[in-house]
Amino acid sequence: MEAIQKRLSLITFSSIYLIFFLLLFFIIEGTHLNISNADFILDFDLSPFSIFVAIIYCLSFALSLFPTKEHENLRPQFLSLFFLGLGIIFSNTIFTFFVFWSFHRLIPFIHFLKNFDENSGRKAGSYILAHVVGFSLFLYLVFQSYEMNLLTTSLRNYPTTFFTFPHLIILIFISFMSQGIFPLHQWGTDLISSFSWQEVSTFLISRSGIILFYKMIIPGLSSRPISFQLAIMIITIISSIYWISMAMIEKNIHKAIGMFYLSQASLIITGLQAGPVGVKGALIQMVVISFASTTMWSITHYLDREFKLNSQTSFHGLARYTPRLAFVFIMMAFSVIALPLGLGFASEDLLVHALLEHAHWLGLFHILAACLNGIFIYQLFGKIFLGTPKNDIPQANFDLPYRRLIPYYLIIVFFLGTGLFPQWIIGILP
Amino acid sequence: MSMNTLLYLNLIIPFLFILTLGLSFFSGRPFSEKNLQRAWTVTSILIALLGLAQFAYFFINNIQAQSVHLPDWFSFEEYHFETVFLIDYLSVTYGALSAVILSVIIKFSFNYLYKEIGYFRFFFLIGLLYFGLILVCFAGTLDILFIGWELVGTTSVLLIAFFYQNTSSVRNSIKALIGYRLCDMGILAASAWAHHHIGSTEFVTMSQHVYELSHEGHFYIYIVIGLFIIWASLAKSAQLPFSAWLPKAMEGPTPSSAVFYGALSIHLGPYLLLRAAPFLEQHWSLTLVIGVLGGLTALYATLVGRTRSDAKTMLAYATMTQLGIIFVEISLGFYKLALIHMVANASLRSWQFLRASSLIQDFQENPLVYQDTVIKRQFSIEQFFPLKWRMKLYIHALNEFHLDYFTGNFLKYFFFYPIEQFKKFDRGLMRMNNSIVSFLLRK
Repeated sequence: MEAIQKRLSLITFSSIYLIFFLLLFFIIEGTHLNISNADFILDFDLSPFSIFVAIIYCLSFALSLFPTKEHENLRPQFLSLFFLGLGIIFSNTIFTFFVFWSFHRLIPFIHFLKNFDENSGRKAGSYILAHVVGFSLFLYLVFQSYEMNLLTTSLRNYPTTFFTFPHLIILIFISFMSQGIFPLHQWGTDLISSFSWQEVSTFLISRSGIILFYKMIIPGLSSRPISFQLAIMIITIISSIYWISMAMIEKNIHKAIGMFYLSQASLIITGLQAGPVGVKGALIQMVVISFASTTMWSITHYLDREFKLNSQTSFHGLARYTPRLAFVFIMMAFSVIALPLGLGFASEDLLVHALLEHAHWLGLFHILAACLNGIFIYQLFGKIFLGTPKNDIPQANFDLPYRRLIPYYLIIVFFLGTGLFPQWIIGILP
Repeated sequence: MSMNTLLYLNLIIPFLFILTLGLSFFSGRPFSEKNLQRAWTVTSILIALLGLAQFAYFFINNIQAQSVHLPDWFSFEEYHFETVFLIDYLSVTYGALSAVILSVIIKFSFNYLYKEIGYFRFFFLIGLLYFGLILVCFAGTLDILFIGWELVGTTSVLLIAFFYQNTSSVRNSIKALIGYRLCDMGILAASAWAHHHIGSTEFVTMSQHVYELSHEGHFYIYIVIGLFIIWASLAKSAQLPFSAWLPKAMEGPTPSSAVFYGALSIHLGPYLLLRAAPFLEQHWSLTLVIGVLGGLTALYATLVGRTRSDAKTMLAYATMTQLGIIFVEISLGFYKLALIHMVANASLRSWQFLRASSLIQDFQENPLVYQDTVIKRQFSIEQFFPLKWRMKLYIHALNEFHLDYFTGNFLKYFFFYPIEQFKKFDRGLMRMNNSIVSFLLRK
């Protein structure tokens, strides 16, 4: 069993690195890759945006899994989820997106359906319902596209005639539901509490909702009145504040990090609607949150294994036993909450100013969300690493060795370097 | 050597120093205590000399206020993050004060914290604090000021939790962070609004545009930006209604309490008001807000401070009182007096904080020597009150006039309670979803 596990880890890692280097190769020029025959059409989009998201996707896993690789039990389904996530990122047509999106969600769906037991308490009704409703609505849109002969049309080039009010609402529903935007958010809690962090990350970092929103909905929104666009922005900001407030009172650490991630993802969607400056800010935020959240998640998962750390109701004081991990964690946290000299600062600055261009008070709510994010992340750090350690903690050093911490340090150097010279990353982003 | 060169040196030296310390930590070989002391001795002498030289050069040559424009830090399309520094009487004075006080405190800390766990951490954070202070001092725009402001706040929070194995320290650092984030919100909002409506966050430009704003019928924008700036300064200087965090911030080591809550960080609130004074003074309503809140804080802090029993908390309230008076001075337009008051108060408080712990020890060892000087009964206005009133006032002051209770309940009822209700609603929805699926899957 152990040998299979090792082999699986090796395959997973090789795949992630191989894809990463392939993407670096492809970044030279945007091109389209078609796999088609008479029966089905899968069309992939190798545009700079997709490659950018995919690189972040692969790199986040490569860097966050490497240090704790020996301690992770990667299940075979992780590899499937990983590739399906990649498929979503590169989808160019509604049919391709639909295929990867539904298969990606099918894995947890089957798991939940099998384990749905009223007596044992392991239920995930929210996920099951969300998936069924989302799948049905998406299928309806695919049929509509087929009827309008748009099945082979790129998501970006959909005609405005397609974006009737019901179609647009359904698309926004699917996008928000995929990204866990309030009030279509509850499946997120089901998923986070039942799957491992890396499996959940394939859902969060592949960003199906954001991708659908960016590639398809934003062009469709341009023909709608500004009040409609504002309403969508308000929902996403409320969602961000909602998730971060929930994270602040959440007892389970892993769930809290997942909620924090969803809060940040809501802010990204808000930024994507706020013109070119907002898009740039949102893309930088995407980089920051992907690296930081997967790292924080892998650290807490590792600590959970060693110290049975899963609750943030009391202080654990683990900095005494894992000072290096505490340092990495706080650096990641500060980068996300827009501390100056970290990359998060540039993204937050761009986002706030772009939002103010749209509506003053919207920018203020964004500032409030950012403020709550800061409080939450420091509170989480304090609960995990600071305070008086409990007596039942084994008196030993559980810090990872330096050689295993190299990827984490690389991320920190990247955050600080790009935080000092943000113009560089602003320039290279698509 | 010009003023600009001195400014660049003032910015580069602390930055390179913290970069070196950071790299040594990254490499897994942080400076030993002795090497750290040597490095800090050289650097602190250098920054103190630089600060004093800049101060002397400015006043001897009677130099006019000047802005130093550097290339934008980053920009995209119409948005530009301007890098502007301002050299005037305010920045050189506060810069010199920061350099001198910090050098003294560093010298004091060499022995005070010797062999303490976290020795390296302390000195690294103090370096970061100095860099943040210099950015705030010489900032020519609200954006640059915000960077320094954040760095000062973050180092402050991390130093409150310096003894991180003590749970109460960590709790109080979280409370201080909430206070700081609130004031950050104010400054960030002011900066963003100024960008949007005035097109720049440069202090000089902002004050020039007030007339245009009022002329175009956007006077409320001026008032809102002004209120945001006042909000930020109130929270940073622990003025009412953001005063609760200061007494709790005394958990850190004494040198950090001295530098943050006696001397430099706490005075950044009035510093911001002085910096933005040409903008704020253009309407009486803003100066009135500053004056009233400053006056109320002075009254509140002096009464509450008299009921405290530990030296550091008493000093914290004493600082708060003086800051309240400084706010009143600013509201009345006595800017130079306020600056002198700030310098004097910062110097006195940092000395008192550093001396407090050893004074208590000295007193315990030699009570007879100190009893005449330390516990000398002084004139007090309380003597004129009837005993019954005095007792009532004392009880109220002991309870901090229920302000902590009020703010605690405010947070509880207006933030945590709605979230809890939301969570209950969420659980209800989940239960409903589970019931629907159970019904559909029934055999």
